[in-house]
Order: sequence, then C-alpha cells, then structure tokens
Amino acid sequence: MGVRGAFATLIGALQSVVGLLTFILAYLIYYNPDILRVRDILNIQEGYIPFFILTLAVVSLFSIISGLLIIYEWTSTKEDKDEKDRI
Amino acid sequence: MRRIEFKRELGLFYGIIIGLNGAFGIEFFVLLEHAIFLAGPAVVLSLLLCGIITMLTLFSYCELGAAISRVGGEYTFAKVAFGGFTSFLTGWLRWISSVTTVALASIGLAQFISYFYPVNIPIVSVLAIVIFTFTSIRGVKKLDVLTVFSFIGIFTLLVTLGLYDQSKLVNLTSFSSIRTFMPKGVSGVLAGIMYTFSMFVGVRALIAGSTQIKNPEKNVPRAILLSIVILIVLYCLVAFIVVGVAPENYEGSEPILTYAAERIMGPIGGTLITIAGISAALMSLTTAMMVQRSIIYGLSRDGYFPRFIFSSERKFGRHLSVIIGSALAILLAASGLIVFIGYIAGFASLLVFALVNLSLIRLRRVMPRLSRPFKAPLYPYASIAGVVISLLLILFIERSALLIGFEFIVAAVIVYHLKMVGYHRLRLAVGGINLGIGGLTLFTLYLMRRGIITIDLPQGLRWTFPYLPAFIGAIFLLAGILNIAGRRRKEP
Repeated sequence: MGVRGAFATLIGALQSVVGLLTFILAYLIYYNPDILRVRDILNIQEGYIPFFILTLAVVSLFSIISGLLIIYEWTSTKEDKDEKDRI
Repeated sequence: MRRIEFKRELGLFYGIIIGLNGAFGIEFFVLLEHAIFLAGPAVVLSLLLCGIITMLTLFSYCELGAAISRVGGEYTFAKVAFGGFTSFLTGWLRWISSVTTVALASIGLAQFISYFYPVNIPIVSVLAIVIFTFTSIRGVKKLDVLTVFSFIGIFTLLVTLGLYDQSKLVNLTSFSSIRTFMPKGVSGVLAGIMYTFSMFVGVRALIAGSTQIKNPEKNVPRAILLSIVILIVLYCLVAFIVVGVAPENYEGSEPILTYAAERIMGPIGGTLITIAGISAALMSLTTAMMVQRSIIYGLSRDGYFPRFIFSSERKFGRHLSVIIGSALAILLAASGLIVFIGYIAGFASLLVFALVNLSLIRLRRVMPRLSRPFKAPLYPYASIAGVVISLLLILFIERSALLIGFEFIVAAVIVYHLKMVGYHRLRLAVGGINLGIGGLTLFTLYLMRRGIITIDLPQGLRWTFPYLPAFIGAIFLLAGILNIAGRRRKEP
C-alpha cells in the first residue's frame, strides 16, 4: 500500500470512528443512563436535548459516510491499478 | 443471469405450514399487551378485522408473486410496476420493517429470559443482537417447522383449559355490553388493527416459498386463506382468554401472555409460554436478520448503496450488510421502548402493503397481457381498499413514532437523491462540507484561544481543550481535501 493510500485509509477510518463516537454520544445524551449521567456532565439543559441529539446525529452520519467514501476511493483506485498491471 | 429452479414437490398442507411458520413470530407475544390497552376487549374484533385486511393484501402479493417469479418480494414488485423512487422506497421500508423485527425479537427474548432469571432487558436484548449478528454471518439453519405444531398445541391448550374452567376468566363481563367491550370506541378498534398488523404479515413468507409448491395457482391462495383463518381463530381465542384473565390496565413485569398462561395452567403454563416465546424470538431474529441482509444486497445490486461495500460476493460486504442493520436494531432495542418499536414496525408494514396494492393496480393497467397464473379476487375494489385502509390506519400511530417513520422516509429521499446526483459530484459535495466543518471548528477554536468568544466547559471536560477540537477539525479538513482530490472516473 502506497503512502498516499495508507494515509487516506487512516484518515477515512479516523473520521468514521469520530462519527461512530459522536453517534454513541448522541445516544447517551438521549438515554442518559444512571451509570453515566451525560446530560449532567455536559451541563445540557432539558430544552436543548433535541437540538443536541439532532446535530450530533447528522454530523455523525455525515462523518461515517465521508470516511467510508475515502476508504472506498482508495481501495477502488488500488484495484484499478492492479487491473492495469495485469493488462 | 442464471435462474434457480426449485422442484415443486410441496402440497397445500406444507404451504399452510410455511405461512404459519412465517407468522408465528415474536410480534404476537410482545405486542398483544399494548393492543389490549388500545382496544380493550375489542382487541378480538381488531384481530379479526386485521386478519381479513391482511388476507386481501396477501392475495395481491399472490398475484404479483405468481406473475413476477423473481427474488426480492415487494421491492421487485414495485420495481417492475413503477421503478425509480417508489421501488427504492418499498425496499427501504421493507428493510426498516425487518430491522424493527430484529429489535422487537431481541427485547421479547430478553423479557422471556427474565421470566426464568431476572436480567436487564436493554442490555440482554443488545447482547442477543450482537450474538445473532455474528451467528447470522456464519449462517444459521432455520428452526424446524415442528415449531408450528408446538405453537398451535400450546395456544390450543391455553384456550381449551381457559374455556373449560371459566372461573378464572374474571373479566368476562367486559364482553357483555358495547360500552365495556369497546371502552375507547371505534377509534380504539382501529388503533388496535394498526398495532396488530405485524402479527399477520409474516404469512407473506408463503409467497417466497411458493416456488416449491405444487399447483401454485390453486394451492398458494388456498394456503394463504387457510393460514390466515387459522391465525385469526387462534389469535382471537387467545386474546379472548387473556382479556378474560388479566385485570384491567395490567402492569405486570412479565408479558401478559405469560401471566394469563400462569393463571390458567399454573407454573407449567408460564414455563410453556415462555419457552414458546423464546422460540418465537429466536425464529424472528434469524429470519429478520436474513431478510434485512438480502434487502441490502438487492438495493446495492441496483446501485442505491455502494456496490463495493455491500457486495454479497465480498466477505467485507457480507459482514457490513448485517452489521449496518444490527446497529440500527441495537439502537432501537437499547431503548427498551417496545411499544414505540411496535408502532414503527406497523408504520413500515402498512406503507409496504399500500405500495404492493398500488403495484398490482399499476401492473394490471400497464401490463394487461402479463401472464398471471393467479388473479387477485375482487379487483380493483380489494386493492383500492387495501391502499386506503393502510394509509388511514397510519393515522392511528402514536405521534412520536409517526415522526420517526416520516424521518425514515426523508432519509430514503436523501439516499435516493444522492444516488441520482452521481458519485463524483457527491464526493465533491461531501468534501466541501468536510472543509466547512473542519474550518469552522478550527476557526471557533482560534476565537476561543484569543478570548473573543467564551464557552464555559464543564470541569470534567476542560482537559480536552484545545486538543480534541483541534484533532477533529484537522481530521475533517484532511477528509475534505482527500474527498475532493480523488480522481474523476466515468459514471456507470
């Protein structure tokens, strides 16, 4: 794997992980479990909860999609190169 | 494309078994309690009407299944009839319906396990999905059709013993007058029909299995009719017994069916129903996992999802298709909101039913000469009624579930639109948004460092400043550059 490809895959994976963690945070804000009172830790007022959840959910889904696109871009580029080498 | 031909060696009896096997899922076990809350004793009437409505739509399934003998079910019907967004929406809603079934089955499984040993319902339901995600990847054989006989046996025993010793049916007076029978009026009955919809839709498994049935044009409609009649009789009788036994506004920790069985048959009854519930949950989990995976394959085959990621020919794609559905199911199951999930399942099933009826109407108009081994009776009245009733029943869904349901439709519109704009432009747009988010994050961080804006971070999070926002901003900036810098290729 080339340096550019490895770097792109790393960034894509990191962005997907950030998206996943953001989604988990949104879910924890919604569920607010007894063992981890996220709303208290983040000082989130009751009226702002839907706003936080919606924003975090949108950002997280976007991050996951963007991260996967980058990984896809690299992998398919590598496949095209392999195909060219075979020819 | 190579077509797979099945030997037609199964008769009417086995057709009924396939239909019942599909229908005996977790839905009846977990949704009955709230259906009784909605309709009161008239839940019996709701179940009867729901069965009849389902049967009419299943005849539409039957005509379409016989005329379009390709895999894909509802998605394929809508694809042939409409194509475009309608077919995608049908597949999407069918996928949502399967995912909600996974969530319902896992919560049901946890509830029944807690009958033997008290457990944390959300945690156990999430664990069940995780375990089944991995077993589903490796392949699980469907449980034997003997289960059908066990279910019928247990339900029949419950009903027979309940009717034999009526002293335990303390609420029989509620059936004596219209006021007590329908405490919430006609709207309660309609809400009950809406909510019990998912209890019958499993019979559509018969359409998928019709490739193996002899004389399908005769045996499949008969099997549908008989399966639904058996279900209506069983469900109505069991609901009658449960309403008769359970106190009004039952709020016990165990499922209402288990409570009723315990009251009628003692601890053995509770154990029997619990074992049946666990079997139903396992069957539903296995089937729904397979269905949701095959729908994702179908949608990605047609380019709605990236073919590379979800391709069934790649190991990574096979795993990811299961994991995506499981992740959504976990989110739903972890909430433990069984009533809410039941509403979403009903919403998706009702819309799919409406779309299947619309597909039938459309195909009769645009392809009148299509070979139809079976024709749905009472056309077009039954199909139009199917569309209208399905859409009307959606009005009885709880408002928050309706909102989530419409959000799923908005998501479908976005996904479809993204497919239409093409990969290159999509990547440019994503890259631009990434640059925007990254730039905004870093700029906000700069303003905070300079003291131009102040945000009062909680004590426990101060250590993350400025490293975490700087890291996230940098990731988004780099991701934006990488998305835009990717080379342009020809659109397929």
